[in-house]
Amino acid sequence: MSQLSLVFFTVLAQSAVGLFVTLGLVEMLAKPNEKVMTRSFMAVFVLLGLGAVASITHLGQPFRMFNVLLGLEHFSALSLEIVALSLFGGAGVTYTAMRLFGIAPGLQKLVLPVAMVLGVVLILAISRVYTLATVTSWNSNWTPFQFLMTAAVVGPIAAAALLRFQSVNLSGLALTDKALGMAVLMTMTIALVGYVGYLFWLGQLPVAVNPMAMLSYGQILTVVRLVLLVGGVLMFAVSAMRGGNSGYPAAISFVVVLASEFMGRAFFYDIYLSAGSGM
Amino acid sequence: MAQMGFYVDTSKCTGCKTCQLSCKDKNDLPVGMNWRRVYEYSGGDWVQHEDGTFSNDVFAYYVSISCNHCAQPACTKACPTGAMHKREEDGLVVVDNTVCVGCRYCEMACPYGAPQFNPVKKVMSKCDGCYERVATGQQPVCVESCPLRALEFGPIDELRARYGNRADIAPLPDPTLTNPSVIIGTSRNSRLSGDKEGKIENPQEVGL
Repeated sequence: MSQLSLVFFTVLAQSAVGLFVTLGLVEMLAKPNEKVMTRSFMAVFVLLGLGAVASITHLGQPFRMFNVLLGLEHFSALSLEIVALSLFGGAGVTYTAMRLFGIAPGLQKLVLPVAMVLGVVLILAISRVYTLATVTSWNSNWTPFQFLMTAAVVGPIAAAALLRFQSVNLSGLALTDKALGMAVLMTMTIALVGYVGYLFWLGQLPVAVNPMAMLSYGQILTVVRLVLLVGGVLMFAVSAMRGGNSGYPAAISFVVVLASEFMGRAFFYDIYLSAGSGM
Repeated sequence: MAQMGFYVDTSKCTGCKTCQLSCKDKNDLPVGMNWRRVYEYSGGDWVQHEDGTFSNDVFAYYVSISCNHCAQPACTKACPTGAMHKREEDGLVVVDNTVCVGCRYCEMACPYGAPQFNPVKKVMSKCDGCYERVATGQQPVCVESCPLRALEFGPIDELRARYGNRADIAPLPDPTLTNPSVIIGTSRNSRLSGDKEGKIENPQEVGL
């Protein structure tokens, strides 16, 4: 558990993107109640804000945080990540403010997809920070895959929880809720298959140290993470398929799946294995 | 720019760690922080012969490593502030600790464990090749203090002309990753990078 600040930052930022993109799709496809959606979009920035605070706690000198933009001169992946975070945050907040104050409805339809794309760009920018040629256990496409899957699994559940709690005013919720349930079942399946692939890939790395043997708690952490992921997703998906619209199952699922993602990310950071791992 | 670098002769090094300690002393480094580290690398086993007798093939050697002031440093590329930079005049990689935010990203990226977080100043720190001593005509303190004369420092081109260009010695990583300005003089026990027969015997001491 060496990088808890980064565990919280990456998972929360990716979850915020997942929530934003899911809400964006719901907005585009289901045209639900306007006020409910506006409030839900605002929740994205609570998650993103918490993530940003977590990232600052990672710095030895937090008051110098704006120095991280100086690295743009040589395209430091970390500087680009901060730029991507600002662009997504800026576009997302702009869109939400436009909704809140009813500014230029026509333009909103353009800003929303742009902000959604910037969210995906942010996740890819975060993954670039960790795909380092000198870090053997991170340097693969499994890194962006896992980061995208965090967004894909947490997003629909978070959106469903928000929408269900405001369901009194939400027209067409039942269909949207079922669609979110189906979506998260599919993304969870992809995430699970990919996670098995990732663990196999880790096990065959040509390094001096066996990554799986590095952590005394690695196996139990992985098992608990998978149980929480499957359990959390099923709790929500089953309730969605049955036509339930209570907010509580979705909210509990959100907390459980988020915890599962924190554990998965803690594992990711703890199996850091430098190309100098013999050192 | 004359790129400066180190030559480490593992056939001479006895692992006395005077280099490590003189560096700690000069730079007033706290416990746990070693800008120069001496890796104790060893391995081997019992080998059975055809006549049923056994002999061992154990081996051990020491590799004294600081920052290798790489030609393509992973740390400067990663650094989001530019605090970790390569000096134009001698190619030495140093941290500007008035700019560093202490994000430790350079530490993640470097495969040699060179950048280390200073828990008091809350910024990164590392071997700077003793550039202030070098400017006055002295050698880095590790080089001058080595009782076996196993370390040398100078323009890397001159050192390569004299000693060759071998840096792929275990437990060091593949040198093509960062093109380090270091040359390793081999010993009869030397193993190549990626070796799985040996292991580092002092992981805690070298910060692993």
